Amino acid sequence: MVTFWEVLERCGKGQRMQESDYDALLYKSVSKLIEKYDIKFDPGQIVPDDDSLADRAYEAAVELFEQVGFYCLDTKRVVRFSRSEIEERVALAPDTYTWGEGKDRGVTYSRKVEDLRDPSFVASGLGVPVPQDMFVKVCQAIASVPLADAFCGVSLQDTFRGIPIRAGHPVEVAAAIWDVSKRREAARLAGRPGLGLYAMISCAESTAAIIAAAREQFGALPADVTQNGAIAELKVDFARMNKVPWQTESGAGIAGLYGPLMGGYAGGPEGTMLTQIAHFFLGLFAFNADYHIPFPIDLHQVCNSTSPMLWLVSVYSQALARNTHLLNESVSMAAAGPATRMLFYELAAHAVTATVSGANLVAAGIARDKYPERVSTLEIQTASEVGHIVARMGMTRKEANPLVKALLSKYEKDVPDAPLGKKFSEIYDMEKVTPLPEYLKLYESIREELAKLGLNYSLL
Amino acid sequence: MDILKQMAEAVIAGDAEHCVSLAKQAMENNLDPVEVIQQGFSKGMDTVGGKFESGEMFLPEMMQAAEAMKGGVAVLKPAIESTGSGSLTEFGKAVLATIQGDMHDIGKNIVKLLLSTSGFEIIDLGKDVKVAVIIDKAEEIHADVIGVSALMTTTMGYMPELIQELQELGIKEELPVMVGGAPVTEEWAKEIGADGYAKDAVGAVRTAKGLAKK
Repeated sequence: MVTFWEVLERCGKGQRMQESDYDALLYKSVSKLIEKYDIKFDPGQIVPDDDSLADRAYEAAVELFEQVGFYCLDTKRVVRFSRSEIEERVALAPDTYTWGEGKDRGVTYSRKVEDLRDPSFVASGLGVPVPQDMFVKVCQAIASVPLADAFCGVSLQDTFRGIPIRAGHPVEVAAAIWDVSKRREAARLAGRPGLGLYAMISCAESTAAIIAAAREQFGALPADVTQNGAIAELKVDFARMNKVPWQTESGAGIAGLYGPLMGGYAGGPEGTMLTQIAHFFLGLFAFNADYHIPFPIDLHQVCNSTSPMLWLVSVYSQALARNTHLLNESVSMAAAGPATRMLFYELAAHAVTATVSGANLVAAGIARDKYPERVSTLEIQTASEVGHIVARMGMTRKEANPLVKALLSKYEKDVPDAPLGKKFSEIYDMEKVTPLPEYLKLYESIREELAKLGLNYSLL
Repeated sequence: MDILKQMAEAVIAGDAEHCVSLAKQAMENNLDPVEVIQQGFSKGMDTVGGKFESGEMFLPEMMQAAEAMKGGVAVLKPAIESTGSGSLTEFGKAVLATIQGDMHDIGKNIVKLLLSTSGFEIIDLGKDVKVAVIIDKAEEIHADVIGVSALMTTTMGYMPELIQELQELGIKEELPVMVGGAPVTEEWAKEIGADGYAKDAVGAVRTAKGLAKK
């Protein structure tokens, strides 16, 4: 197997190329491959039930990664791998990962297309900025989502102790330590002290801060996970890879984080879908990833709830589920904000699409993951329930397609001007850390609506 | 079809060779080179920007269109310089950077692409650029606008630092700053004292033009 050390050597020996030339090479390769493998987005088939399409997508992605590998920004070199090296690395990758400990333990595992087993579910508000004084309560609410196998809370807003948090600045280290300890406190307050952290720290980018904070004395559990993010598209640098020796030798969980941008260097939904799969290979080689967190985003709409994006989620997930046992933790990125019907619809559409396509679920990026305090829980809970119901019903892709289209018809036209919704403090009783009655009423009404669309809630 | 329309269409098609031959034809016909750029090539690029924004075109196609336009403009440039009939960079100089600690530069690159075809001379400092480096370069070249982007909440904290530094140095009025990127909101931009904000690249062109004209 190609080891991390061999990868580092190739970072210094691969073909030297300017970054802009690599971007052009990617687009050229992707364009040829989508033609060669006859891959075309069909707006009528958001959840395609064509096994051949999924397999062609996988083959095309392997060929893409053979051709373009990944780009090392530090050495300006293309790091390539042969087909047999890719196949071997994929075959030897983990097919399960266990979060947390004790009775709060959660397991994620490799799912198949139309798998009858429940998807693993991560309750997340990662990316939504929340001020320090609300942080624990919001994380507690997220950790309380009943079906969550792991959680990650929210992101600490721009200051800590009144000082702006900046990567590489001393305050980043202090904020990261505080962040971990408060997430663990939030899990305790939610009555789930052993609930795993699928992403341990939100406010740290530098390796120094992450390593400083990821310690049991600050609340981290042995299986809590740190993330290594790729840079769009198919790029890495040593600042991200330098966590790997520490992660590997300490036994820390490693998550590869990949957010290809539809409309960007890989072109449209077809090319971005191939690039999404190729990022999984990047994660294995460059990060030693145990599991993978894909969050493809429409460059303009900054979400993945539109028709082309859900198609992309479905096809890449089917391709991986049919051809590998890689752990695919599919992240929903929504345009709308909390306590809007639209947010419930967006997350439900993603949950149906990803679950029947063989993915596990992470919910959610809310209100384009941008606006302070725009985070909520009952929509996340709905996504978890929908995923479980769909699997337990044995829903097929053919049955899922009209359901997803019905959901899309309720919100897709509103994506460009999606409602911002309410702030957490407007929909939660901040003393009890429970949803306010109006918000609960909305959740109940959405449940009724989804039941009318065919979801069997008695299976929960 | 008149030549200006052909120029616009050649840019939209990303056809560099056609752009060059049309530019030569315009010179042979003694057309005003500045008008040729503004009413021909730039119109095409405006259309490309619109199509990119609406998702009809993708970034590589927009890059190809910009390259095609640059090929045509290169043919016209000597005539503009020799006659002094106008400027290719009427809005002046823009210093662009992805802020310190942040390696994610796709947004900055898209803004660069559109500004470079909209009357700006671009000084691209790249990614992970220290605040001091941005200020030094902007001062050195007497920039008309500074544009900085961030993708991470952990790096956007350098944006207020940039603005504070400019204020402390007493050069904030001369060097307007516009900010953008995934985690940056208009409210936050106002809060930190940025002079401009745009939610996307097309908006960034409008913002930059407004700031540079002041």
